[in-house]
Amino acid sequence: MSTFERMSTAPLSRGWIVVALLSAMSGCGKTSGPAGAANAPVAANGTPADIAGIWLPDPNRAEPWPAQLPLTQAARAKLENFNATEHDPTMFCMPLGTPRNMLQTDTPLEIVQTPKQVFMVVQPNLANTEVRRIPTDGSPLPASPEATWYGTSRGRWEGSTLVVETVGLRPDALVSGNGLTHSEALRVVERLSVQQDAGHGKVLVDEIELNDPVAYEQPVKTRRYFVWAPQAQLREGTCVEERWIDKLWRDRLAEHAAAARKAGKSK
Amino acid sequence: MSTATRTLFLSCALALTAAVTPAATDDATAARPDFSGVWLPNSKESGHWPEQRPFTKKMLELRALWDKTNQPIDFTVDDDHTSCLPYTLPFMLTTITQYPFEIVSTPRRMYVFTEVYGQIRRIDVDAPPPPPDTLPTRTGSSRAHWEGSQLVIETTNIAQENEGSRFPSSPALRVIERLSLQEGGEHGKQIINEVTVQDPQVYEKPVAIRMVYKWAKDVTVSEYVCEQDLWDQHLDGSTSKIPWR
Repeated sequence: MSTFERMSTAPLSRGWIVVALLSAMSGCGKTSGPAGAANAPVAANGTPADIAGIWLPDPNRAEPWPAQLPLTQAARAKLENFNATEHDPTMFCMPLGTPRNMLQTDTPLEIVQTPKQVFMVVQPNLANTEVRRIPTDGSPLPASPEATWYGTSRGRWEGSTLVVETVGLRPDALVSGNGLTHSEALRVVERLSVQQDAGHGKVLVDEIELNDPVAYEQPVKTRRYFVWAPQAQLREGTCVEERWIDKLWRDRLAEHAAAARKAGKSK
Repeated sequence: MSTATRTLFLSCALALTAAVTPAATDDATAARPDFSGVWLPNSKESGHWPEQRPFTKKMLELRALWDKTNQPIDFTVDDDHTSCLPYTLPFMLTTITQYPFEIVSTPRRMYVFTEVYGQIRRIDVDAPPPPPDTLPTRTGSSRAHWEGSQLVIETTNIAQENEGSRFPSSPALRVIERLSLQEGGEHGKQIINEVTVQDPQVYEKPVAIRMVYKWAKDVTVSEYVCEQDLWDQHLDGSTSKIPWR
């Protein structure tokens, strides 16, 4: 199995269990047909589609990465030397960042849509909330924005498809939890459209293209599917709080173990 | 600036609230303002918590006991905000910070995106009450309705703050906000938020604070990652200061 075949297998967590329950309630846990099967756009041409609401990623339909990624030598070296404990920012309660927050397949997505902007809210494993702000007001992307986790985005409607370009992404963020990296030159182009799917109802398709001449010899393309889940709710959560609770449990267990050892010696 | 320093410098916190675009078509609709936009707490015009809060006798005893048991506290280590734990209602509404928040109105729900801690409030308009088994959260469950040109938001299911907290609370905590829009003036427009805190297990009578949020027309709500220092220190090869490891 190549590194990238394993990539969509995310560890179960409390957050995902909640989401899974919700997804089962909404009927989106069923297995799907072939990716992208014959679906008509919901909105007519020239009309922005209604993409507002909660969407749950469908890991079964996540398009596999190419077996041989066109990595530059530098990017390949980083991948081969990847050590999650040292190199994965999420181990330190950092955000997934864009585009990993769209690629991960275990993160519910909430979209807030207004005529002039779209917000994409991602909450990986009920940890810290990540908010992508995407103006759709025709304003241009700034020439050289400061690098941030979610980057700087602009969107435009091409018919009923939302095209989002994102630049200014921190190079220490990962593209995948398996160590696929990018450079500061990364430009992400996404094409988001809504399909009606016989098995799932309303499905949001995100065609994602990663352009980064420093890390990839040619653009890398993939696709993610999100099933509409009107009953689902994103809940607040904080990564540090979970870590603190884990630590308190560990400390308490250690205290009990020490007390037990002491009791054993005194007998 | 370290997280701790940054946190100390925020006299802190968040503001909230909301606006809305209801579907009704009666005459009252014309008077309903749209609170959408980016806002900053107005430190000059906003009110404050009373110097002497009307704690119940029982709560005063509990706070004294907590102090006796836990003081002195080293706030450079044992501070919830230094530890990157986000704000809880009503604190996030009534504290003054230099961080903006953005209100986004949609037909059935108003969102409040705050910069500090990247918190989100979701305020459902003319919606049924939250299910009785809803788990408490820092921002609680908010429902709103219009009374003329005022949007009235009621929030319950707010995560409890213990008796040692600066703002202790009980599961009975109920925060009422009455939002109105004030046009004109130095900032173009302002939101007036009449906040009432009801918590009979903590306060003998409701506490009212009048908050003012000024329009921040040219401000964008930016990304905020409280724990950034920890990752930066790791990348720099500094000794790990990660408290939970």
